[in-house]
Amino acid sequence: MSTSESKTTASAQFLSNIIGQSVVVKLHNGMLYQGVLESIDGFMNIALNQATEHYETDANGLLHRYDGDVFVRGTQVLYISEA
Amino acid sequence: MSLAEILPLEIIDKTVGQPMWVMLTSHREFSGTLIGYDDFVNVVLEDVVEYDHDQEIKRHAGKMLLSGNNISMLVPGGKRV
Amino acid sequence: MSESGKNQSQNKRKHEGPKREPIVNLSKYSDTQIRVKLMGGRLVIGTLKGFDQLMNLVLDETIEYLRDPEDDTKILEGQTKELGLVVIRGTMLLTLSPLDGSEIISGPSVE
Repeated sequence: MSTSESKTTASAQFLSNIIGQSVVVKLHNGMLYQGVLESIDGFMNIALNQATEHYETDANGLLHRYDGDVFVRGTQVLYISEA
Repeated sequence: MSLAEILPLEIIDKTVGQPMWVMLTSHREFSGTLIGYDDFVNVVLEDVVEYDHDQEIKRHAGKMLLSGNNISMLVPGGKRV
Repeated sequence: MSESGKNQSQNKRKHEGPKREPIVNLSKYSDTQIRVKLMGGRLVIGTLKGFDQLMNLVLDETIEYLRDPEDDTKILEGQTKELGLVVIRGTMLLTLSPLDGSEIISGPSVE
């Protein structure tokens, strides 16, 4: 994941392409966050804006709406996906 | 005499652009087109179907970065259903 | 308890850097069936086709043994999933053993 490499990896490329876009982020415990990707680092720490919180899938109902920022710890991130 | 004939990362590299089935340590699995990967085998997939206990739980139309942290197996060819 | 005096030369080598050689030479299992346990409880059997320094493996004709959905530690006998050619992450590898010379016994049930 190190972005300092001269050869950009597929993951680094993906991350730089999706900044500012709407994304979904799932954690290991099954929580799903959908929002605008403010920023992300090499540890997969993530900052979202205007996020909604669901369990597993948005079909399971809205658990919470965050009007401001949400910070997500990188170690708990399972995936980040284009919404 | 018998050397490592096939390198694991070589298999993954040859699968770029093709379907890949990714299994985590849990009962969760992902199947989609492999776009790329990095040294930690974090994986970028596209058009992904997410499964848990073999049940489809979510579809992802775009690209997805799947953390390599919990990936236990990768199967070229995608999930057979 | 301390062996520092006895094994000075060995300790010295340790400090110079990690030894590259793995403790088990996997090439002797090439093209034979091996049984691999993974972190999280997955169990697979397959023919070893390749590996690397990090103990990532390539298995062919791989079969995964399915587990009781209620109890991950319980293997469902006869229930398998054919995976074919797979890559196994060395980071998730728990145990590896040759299939030849071992058998699944109907062990005493854990009470």
